[in-house]
Amino acid sequence: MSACLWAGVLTGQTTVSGYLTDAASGEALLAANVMELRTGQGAVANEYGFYSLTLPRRDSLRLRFSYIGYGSRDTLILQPPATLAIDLGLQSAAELETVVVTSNQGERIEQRTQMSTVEIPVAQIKRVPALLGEVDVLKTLQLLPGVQSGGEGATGLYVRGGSPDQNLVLLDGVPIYNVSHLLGVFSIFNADALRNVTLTKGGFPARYGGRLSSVLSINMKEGNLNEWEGEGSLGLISSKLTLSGPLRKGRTSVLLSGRRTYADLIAAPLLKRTAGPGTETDLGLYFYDLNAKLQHKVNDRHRLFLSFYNGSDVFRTEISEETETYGGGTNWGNLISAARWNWQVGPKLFVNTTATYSRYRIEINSLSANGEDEFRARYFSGINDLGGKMDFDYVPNPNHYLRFGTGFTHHTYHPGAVSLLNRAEDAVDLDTLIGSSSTSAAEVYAYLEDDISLGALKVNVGLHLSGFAVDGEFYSSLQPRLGLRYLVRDDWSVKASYSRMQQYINLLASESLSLPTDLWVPTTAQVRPQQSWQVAVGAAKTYRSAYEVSLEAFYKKMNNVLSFREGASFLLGLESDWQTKVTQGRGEAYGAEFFVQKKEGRLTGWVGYTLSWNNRQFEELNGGRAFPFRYDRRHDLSVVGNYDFSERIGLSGAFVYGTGNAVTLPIYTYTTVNPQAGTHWSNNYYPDRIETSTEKNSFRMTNYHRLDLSVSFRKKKRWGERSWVISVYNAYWHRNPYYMEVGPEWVCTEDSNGGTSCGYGDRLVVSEVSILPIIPSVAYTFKF
Amino acid sequence: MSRLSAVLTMTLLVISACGDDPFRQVVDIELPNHDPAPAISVELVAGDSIVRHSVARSYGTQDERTEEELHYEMVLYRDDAEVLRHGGTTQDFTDPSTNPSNLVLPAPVDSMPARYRIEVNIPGLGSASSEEMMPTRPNARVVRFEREGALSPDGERVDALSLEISDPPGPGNYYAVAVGYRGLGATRCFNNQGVITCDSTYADFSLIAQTPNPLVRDLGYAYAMGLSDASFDGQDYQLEVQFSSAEASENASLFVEVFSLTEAAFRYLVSKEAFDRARGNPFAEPVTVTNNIDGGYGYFIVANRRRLMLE
Repeated sequence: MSACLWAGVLTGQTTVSGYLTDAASGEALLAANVMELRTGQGAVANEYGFYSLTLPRRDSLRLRFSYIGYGSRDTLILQPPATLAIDLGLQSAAELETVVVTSNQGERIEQRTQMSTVEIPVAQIKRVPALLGEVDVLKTLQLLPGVQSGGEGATGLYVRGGSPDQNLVLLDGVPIYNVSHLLGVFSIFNADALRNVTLTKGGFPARYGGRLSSVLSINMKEGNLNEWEGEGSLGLISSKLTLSGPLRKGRTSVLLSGRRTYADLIAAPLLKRTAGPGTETDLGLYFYDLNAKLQHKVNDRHRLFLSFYNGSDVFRTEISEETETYGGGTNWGNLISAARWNWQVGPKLFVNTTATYSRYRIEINSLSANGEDEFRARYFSGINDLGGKMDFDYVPNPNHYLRFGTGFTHHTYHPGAVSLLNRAEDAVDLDTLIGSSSTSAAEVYAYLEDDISLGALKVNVGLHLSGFAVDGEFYSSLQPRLGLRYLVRDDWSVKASYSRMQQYINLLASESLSLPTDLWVPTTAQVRPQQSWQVAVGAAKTYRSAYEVSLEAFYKKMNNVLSFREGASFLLGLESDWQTKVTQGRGEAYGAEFFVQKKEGRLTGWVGYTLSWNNRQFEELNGGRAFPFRYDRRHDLSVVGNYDFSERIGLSGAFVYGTGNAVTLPIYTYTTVNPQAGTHWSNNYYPDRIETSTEKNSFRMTNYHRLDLSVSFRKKKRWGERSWVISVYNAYWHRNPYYMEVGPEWVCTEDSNGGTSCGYGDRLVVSEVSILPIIPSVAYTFKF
Repeated sequence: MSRLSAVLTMTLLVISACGDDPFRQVVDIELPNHDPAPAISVELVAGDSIVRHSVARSYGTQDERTEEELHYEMVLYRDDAEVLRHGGTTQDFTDPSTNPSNLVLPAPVDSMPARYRIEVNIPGLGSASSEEMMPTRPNARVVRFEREGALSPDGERVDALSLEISDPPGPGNYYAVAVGYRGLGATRCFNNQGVITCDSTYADFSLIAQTPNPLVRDLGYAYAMGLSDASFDGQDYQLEVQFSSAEASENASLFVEVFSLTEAAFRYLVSKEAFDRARGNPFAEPVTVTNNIDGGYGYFIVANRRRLMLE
């Protein structure tokens, strides 16, 4: 512990402030707890580890510093001055070689004002059984109550009735637009590079805005300031490596993390072998992620951070024969970067200034060349953001924690365009660009919030103001936020919240599939901003110091939600504007969530259950009648457990169950004749068969359920630790539907010759197609 | 570990080999029992001397389709007065060459507002009916027409047309705009004792048109561009249209036809066009085709029109 006594003016108060970090690595401990033991007054560290606690001046102070999974530290300070700076490093329980379970390690769930928030430790995420052994942050979040997946294999989050574009996903404070690899099977987040993951589903503090349904804040590790360390894994589908260490001990650190799949490295030789002599082949079939972060402590008051992420999916084939070359492919990915400056202005004031850049791009291309003839087509779309923000934390006294700030983002949208090049010997050359031109928009916001302590009652009240300028239009919104917590007893509390949200960006996506060709488009003069308001009530309690239990009920109303018009496809016709393909309407979601979590001990994990309803209404759809949203999941249950038999062997399991997605099926068919607009000269007669339904989304897919299991064998080595992780996804191979289709029945009948003839009959049958069977996998992980 | 890997691999291979298609299964979805009902399609356009129709029966999508012949009787009323009565069988429509859908009216359809009602009875199946008001004749004029006076999004020279529609006050007016030309339809020649006589008929042909106007909906081949008066109720509205008349001969007469549609007709045409576009596309949003037939399915389109010559 290093303590630095500052000379200060004698007042009736003492302000203790500083940073709480991991003693080994120097990483900041978000939400670490500081408490004065005699008065019970306390403070919580912010996401940069900064805390500030102002107390009545006394002869002595007894402070306890604590954080979940770490040993707590008690400090006695005699004759404390007016201001006191204490930077403290806490040792993790693993390093202490004893598991210390105390009753107040970190702020307990019933003490927190913020409701509808879940923080899952990254260590716990890494233990959840994973598809092909690939630990996935978003897949783990889908196991929480109130959070649903879009379907088999998809990483999209549907939070309390919202759609994936209504989630604000922040990586080190920078918004990310596409969070999936491999068409939604994996997320872009490499868990080895992450420090903490926090999901807020409601009761949004005023500092957040721009999305209706959730805020997913993911922070990268900052780098080990004291010594070099690393971890990695080798799996069936991908491998990854993370290195972190000091460039200048105690001052400057760097973190580098990379992950790549290698299906193409295996398939490329096979493709070459089958291609034949004289044929050149080029195959790209992989995705990768690169994370990098640089941290520099200028002095005790100033810190600088640079973070960077680049990830991409590549699907590409090109075959060159003697005179002909053909091929095609698609690639999509994100690039984000952020520069951050932390400034502790004084013992009570902390400022964070961030400049951000985010880019998402997708490209689909096709090539065919034969001698002098050449044809190239390239479809591309994307979004670029350039922004900055300043956030202030001001703690004037123990009863108030003020946050205020402002931000600005310049958006550039490229909704989709095709470039065509066609050169042929017997035709006119074509070289043109077709499709939507780019659109620029500017978004600004400001907020003010206060966490007020009034004894057993804590109130978080705030205001978020936002504005958006696009296409000569300016939209603005004043969004009040309120959160209440009343501590009924030391170990349980009741909570309530209200929040109003507005968002200026939309994702045009098929309800059937999550695809990288989903388009991010802005609010325009024609498409109005989405809006919502949400109320939630709940109770929270800690049982036996180990089990956190919460029960919440919520109601959410949404306006101007977007949907494709009937018959529209994500493959937008480039001859018309995307705005002509969509319609706006209303949404309503309500339900109850039950959650119990155990974070420490041999057995850890959680059980989450959600009972909810989720409806939509559009004037242009379903005859204007309300209908269930596709992801209206009446029941959603998740049970996740990790058990350590010993230091060397651990077992993990996850079981999920959910009501099937709502779908529209044609229930009747008839023959009609196409209208002719009175062209009576025409003798043409065009019979046509129509299959249709009466109500949208009035049927359900088969209920979804799945069991995943994994066992890990750990061993400490001289150089560190290694593990073999054997897992099985979908252990009893339930055919969970990916999509449904209706088509003619395949019928085989005996013919007159005694043989069998088969063909499509008239009768239509419903088939479900699943994609992920039982999938065992093995991975080798190491840490040094 | 190598033994374990081998066992796992073999297990996966064996399991995945089970069954014809381990990733697809036919499921029993409890679709509601479908009560078959008449499916009728009737189209009545002011100025026409025929009414187009078809009659069929509906089936549940999982029902066996039977090739039964059903007799039907159809009656068309105008302001409660019988205009047309026709009987036939559903089998008539299985042979397109006989052109079964056109029924000749005693007089052309009047463009004055009137209440039209259609009733179809299929013994053993049931009755269906529909009633619609003839919309008022659209008020429109050509503001500007210029051959090759515009550039298409592809960069080609196309004809430019500015059309002004004057909408009467009161919501719920729906329009369709189609472009065509009247030209030589067919020429038939006869040889009468060495004297050859040719008889030519003129017919209307459609031209494919487009518009940059985002409010316009696609109504399909016949009615082309659809428009609701929601954004210009009671006002004049100017619509820009582009088309190519290159296929029309020099003697052809270009025209634009403006239709007034009922709301039911407009909704049917929009949903039917969406259904046609979505056909066979697994990524398209599902479409519910609307219908305005009581006791059955299909459509009863009643439309008024005004033809404006362009040259």
